[in-house]
Amino acid sequence: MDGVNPVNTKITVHAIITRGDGSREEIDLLLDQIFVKDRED
Amino acid sequence: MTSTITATSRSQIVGILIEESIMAGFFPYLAVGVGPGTSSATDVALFEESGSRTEGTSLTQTTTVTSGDTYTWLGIYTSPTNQTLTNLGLFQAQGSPVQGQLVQQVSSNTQGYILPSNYNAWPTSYPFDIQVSTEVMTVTGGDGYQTLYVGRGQNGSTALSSIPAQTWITQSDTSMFAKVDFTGLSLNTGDSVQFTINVQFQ
Repeated sequence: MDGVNPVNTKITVHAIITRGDGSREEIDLLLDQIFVKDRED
Repeated sequence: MTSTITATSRSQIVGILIEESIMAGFFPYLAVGVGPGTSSATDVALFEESGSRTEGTSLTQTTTVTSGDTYTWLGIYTSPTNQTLTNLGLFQAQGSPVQGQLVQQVSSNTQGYILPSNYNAWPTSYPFDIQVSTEVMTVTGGDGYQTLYVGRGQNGSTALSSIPAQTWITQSDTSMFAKVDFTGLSLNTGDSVQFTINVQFQ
């Protein structure tokens, strides 16, 4: 073990879609194990 | 053996990220993409970014497991065209990247040049990075006509042995904070989507 401990993240995306006819749908885009990258100034 | 950051650190990371946006005076921008690919930490752009970026409407610190461990971005995106979204990202910058397509396939993982469909649209100040499929390349120069000279497999990405013609090329935007891909979200012109994006630190 080298002590490396990357920051784990879990990202979820929830979408509420309103269609042109006024109908609505809700979707979880089910996203795990993506990443975070620090902002570079 | 086990190691971890603490619940306190998780909360602090989220707090700092949100504070940055407060100090900057705007919320991060959502960009959507319509190209294929699997997201990687080495990515510097979306897969075929589409349309304009949309500023978030709120940014809050929420709790998923430990107190304040989650960064929650909320915003509304209205589709300007019929399209199927395949990926999206949060960015600190609003401007859209330069994009083009390969007019000729890349046929090895050592090929040191590409031919873009729109040579004159690309910066003439070198170097700069581009996303081509899952690979990041560094553009080191151009021939002034049609060819960009590239370094392969940059930013920790893997140089691909073959990249088909028509593959999109997108200019690097290092303000990308997070990126996700998914099977596909089909939208028609005028459809409105309220996105809630949660980034939980574990």
